[in-house]
Amino acid sequence: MKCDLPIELLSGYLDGELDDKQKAQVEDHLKECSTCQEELKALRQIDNDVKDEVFEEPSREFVFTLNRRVMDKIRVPARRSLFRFAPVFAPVAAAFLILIVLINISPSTKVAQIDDRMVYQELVQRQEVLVSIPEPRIARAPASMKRTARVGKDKAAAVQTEETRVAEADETYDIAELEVMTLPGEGVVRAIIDSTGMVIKVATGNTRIPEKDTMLENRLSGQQLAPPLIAGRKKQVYVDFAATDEKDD
Amino acid sequence: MYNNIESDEALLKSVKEGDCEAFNPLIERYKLPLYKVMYRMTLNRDDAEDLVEEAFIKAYRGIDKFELGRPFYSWLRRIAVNNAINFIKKERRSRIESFEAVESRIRDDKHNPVTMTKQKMLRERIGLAMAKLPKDSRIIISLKVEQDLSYDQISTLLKIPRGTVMSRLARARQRLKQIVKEMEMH
Repeated sequence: MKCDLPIELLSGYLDGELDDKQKAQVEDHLKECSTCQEELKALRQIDNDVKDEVFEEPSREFVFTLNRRVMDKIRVPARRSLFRFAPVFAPVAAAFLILIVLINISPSTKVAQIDDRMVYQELVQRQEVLVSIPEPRIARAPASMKRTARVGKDKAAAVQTEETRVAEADETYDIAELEVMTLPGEGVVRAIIDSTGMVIKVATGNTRIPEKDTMLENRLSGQQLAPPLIAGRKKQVYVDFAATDEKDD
Repeated sequence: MYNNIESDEALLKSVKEGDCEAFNPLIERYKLPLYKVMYRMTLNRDDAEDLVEEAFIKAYRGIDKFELGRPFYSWLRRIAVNNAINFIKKERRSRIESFEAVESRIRDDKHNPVTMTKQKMLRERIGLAMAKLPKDSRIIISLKVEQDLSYDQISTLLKIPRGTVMSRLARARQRLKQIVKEMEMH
């Protein structure tokens, strides 16, 4: 008998995907066609073989680490979402942080800096003030330090040491005890004396901005002088000590 | 912590509400079935494993589109198969490499007949025959026979008409039977 059944119908019959009319057509044909019966049997066997087919087992890495790998990747976007606007905010945040750092490392009120004298100059130019600088007993020094206070451009005018010397001057150390006599004769010692009279910064040299002299500063800083007074109030001052010969006085 | 007792529905509800940890048991539950589908499509273990991983990640990222109440595995598998089809289009070498790998494995086993039972030989032969099938035929047989999808589901998944599914599947079966027969003769 000549077989005219399309293979699609036989395959569809095997899968149970035919409509009633097609199904009846195939079943009628199968009753008479041994070739198609054999073909159907062979196709069914192929399907069973495919179902039983061994396939390459997944790796141990896959079996044991897939969960973690997937979870790591799906957790990341949640964390990243916080930084979604990072390209915009990161530079701003960085600038803000730098600003905070700069503020924190800026000079505290405790430590006087070279620019502090500007405040002092400004104050003096506006009014007559009495400036009291602790008076070291320079007379005993072979090459004594003549102290002058910088008051605007006129060094001498505002220095009225003798009149305004205060009781605290009794606590003043002798300049000899400060051991500054070893300084070069033409040098200038500049010091910052805080409002309590303590020497907190020392520098040497002839330039407008003297060089830091660590050795001298180590020797002098912390020494207690009488508190400097400006207009009757204790103030931190910037002072030049000029080294001069005693005979010039 | 979630465990494997929780239903897909409960886990997916938690995932949709933003708890990504609830996705973990779903990975555990479906990674091996999905691997099998991916392996059948690529015939390459490494590719199949990578595709499974990608499928889970894509599924998670598209979880908003998943409708609770529908079967999760079918949805996941559709994502995986679509992804694999795109992968195979780009990576045409994989079929040839895998075919050689399967063939070499069978050749090695033939040298060791003690360990090679008849049943195992038959199954290996089917594996090799599947590897020799054109890519489209292999995928459609895998989806119908191994995954037991309906013609309509395959039609949707592969974006081809139902009639094409029917004819392509019939031809694929014929071809597979023919390859197996040829192998038996040699």
